[in-house]
Amino acid sequence: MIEDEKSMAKALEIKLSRLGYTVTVAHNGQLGLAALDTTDIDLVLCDLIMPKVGGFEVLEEMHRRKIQVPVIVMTNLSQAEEEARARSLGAMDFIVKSNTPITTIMDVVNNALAD
Amino acid sequence: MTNEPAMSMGLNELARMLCLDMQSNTEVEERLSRMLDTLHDQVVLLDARGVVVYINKATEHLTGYNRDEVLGSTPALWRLSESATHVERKLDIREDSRAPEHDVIRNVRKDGTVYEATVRSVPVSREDGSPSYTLLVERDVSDAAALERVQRRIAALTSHNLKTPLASMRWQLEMLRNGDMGHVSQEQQESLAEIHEGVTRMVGMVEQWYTVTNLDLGLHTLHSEKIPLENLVAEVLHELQLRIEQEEVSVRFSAHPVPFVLEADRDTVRTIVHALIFNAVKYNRANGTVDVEVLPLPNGDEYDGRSFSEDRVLLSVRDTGQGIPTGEQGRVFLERFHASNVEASYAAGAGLDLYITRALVQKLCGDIWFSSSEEGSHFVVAFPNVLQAQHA
Repeated sequence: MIEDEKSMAKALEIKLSRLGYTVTVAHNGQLGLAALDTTDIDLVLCDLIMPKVGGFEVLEEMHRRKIQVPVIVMTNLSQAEEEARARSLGAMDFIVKSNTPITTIMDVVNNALAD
Repeated sequence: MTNEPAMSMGLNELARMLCLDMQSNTEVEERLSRMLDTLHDQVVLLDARGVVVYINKATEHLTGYNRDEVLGSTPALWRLSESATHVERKLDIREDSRAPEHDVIRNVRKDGTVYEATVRSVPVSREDGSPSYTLLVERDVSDAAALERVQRRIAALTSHNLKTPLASMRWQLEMLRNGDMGHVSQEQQESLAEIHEGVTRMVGMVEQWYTVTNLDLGLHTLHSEKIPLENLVAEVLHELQLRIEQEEVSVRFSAHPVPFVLEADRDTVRTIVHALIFNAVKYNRANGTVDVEVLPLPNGDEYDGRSFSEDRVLLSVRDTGQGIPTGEQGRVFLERFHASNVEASYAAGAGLDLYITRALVQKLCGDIWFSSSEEGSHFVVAFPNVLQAQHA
C-alpha cells in the first residue's frame, strides 16, 4: 500500500490484516517502488498525490521496469482525466476514497486477488 | 428605441461583401483586407478544397510565415500534427450549433515554437451557391490556456486536500460503527451516525464547491460517451437506497420498454439525476412517494406545454413533498436557495443543488423546468443527443 495519509493507511492496514492479508505500507512513491524491488507483492494499492514520487510516476516506473503487479489507484482526485490517465498507465481500478466506504475497498481487493 | 435598423443594415452590407467574388471587385477586396488587417486574430480564407486563398497580417505575425508561403498551402502548415486531425473534425461539424466554440488546439510557428489557439470556422457561400469558402478565425490563447491550467490544478488540489481528512474520518467512523475497534453502545452508535452524516455532508459540499468553481471559471469539461439513461437512473437509486429507507419514502421507477442511449458526459448526467432524485427524497413527507420516469419526447410533440425541434429524452421526478412556496419559485435555480417551508435542519446544505443542476443541464444543451404546489413538486429535464429514441 502506497499511501501518504497515515490515518488512512492505518485504517486500511487494520481491515486488510483482519482479512488475512500481509500488508507492506510505504508512505510515498519512492518507498513503494523500493518495496516492489524487495518484497513479493500480489497487489498494489496506490495513492496519487504524494511527496517525492507520486502515484502517476509509480505507474510510469512500474511500466518502464515491466513490473506486472496489478495496481488499484485510490485517490481524492475525481476528474475523469485523472482516471483515464491512471488506466492508460495500467491501473486496473480507480477508487475515489471520499466516495467509497472502506468495506467496498475490501470487496475490491478480495475480487482483485481472487482473479 | 434602439439603433437596430442601422446595425441590421451594416450587417447586411458586411454579409453582402463577404458573399462577393473578391477577385472581381478590387475596391471591396482592398477595403475588406484593410479591415481584416486591423484584427489581432488570424483570419484565413480557404477555398472549397481547403486551400488557403487569403490571410490577414495577424496570420503572418502569429505563424511567422509570409503571405507567399501560406497562399496555396493548407492550415496544416502551422498545425502541430496532433492538432491537424482535430481541426479537420471540427471543420466537418462546423454547421452543428452545438459544436464547441472554444476548443483549444496547438499551432506551431515557422521558428518551431508552439502556441495554443482557439479556432472558429464560418462557411461562406456565394449567392449562386457555387464554390463556397471557409473563413477560419484563430486566436492565440497561450497565456489564457496557461492560466486555465493553473486554475484547474489549484481547484483540483484544493478539493483533494479538503476531501482527504474527511475521507479518513469517514473510514474510521465506519470502522467504529462496524465494531472494528471494539463494542459500541447503542447511544454511541447514534452519536457516531450523526457525525458520519455530518462528514458525508461536508464531502458533498466540497464536491459542490469544486463543481461550482469549475463552472464559474468555465473549466467544467465534458467527455461524451454513450449512456444508457435507465441504467444510470437505476445505479443512482441503488446508491440512494439507504437514504430512501431513512426518509421512509417509496420510490417508483418507470423505465421505458426500450432503453434510451444519450451521447453525453456521464458524470454530468449522473450529477443531475442524483440531485433531482435526492432532493425529491429529502424534501418529501414521511411515507411519501417519488415517481421517477424516463420517457421519450419526439421532435414536435408536447410535454408540459413544451416541444423541441429534435428528439429529446425526459427525466421526470415527481415528489409528494410540501412543495415550494409560490412566491419563492422564481429563485429556485439561484445560488443559496432554501425554501422557507423547509425545516432548518434540512436546509444545512449550501443551497447549491438546483443551481448546479441547472448549470449542468445548460452545459449539456438541455432544458430543465418544474412545477410545484402544496401536493408536491415535479422537476423535468429534457436531454438532447438521443441516439436511440423509440417513439411512443
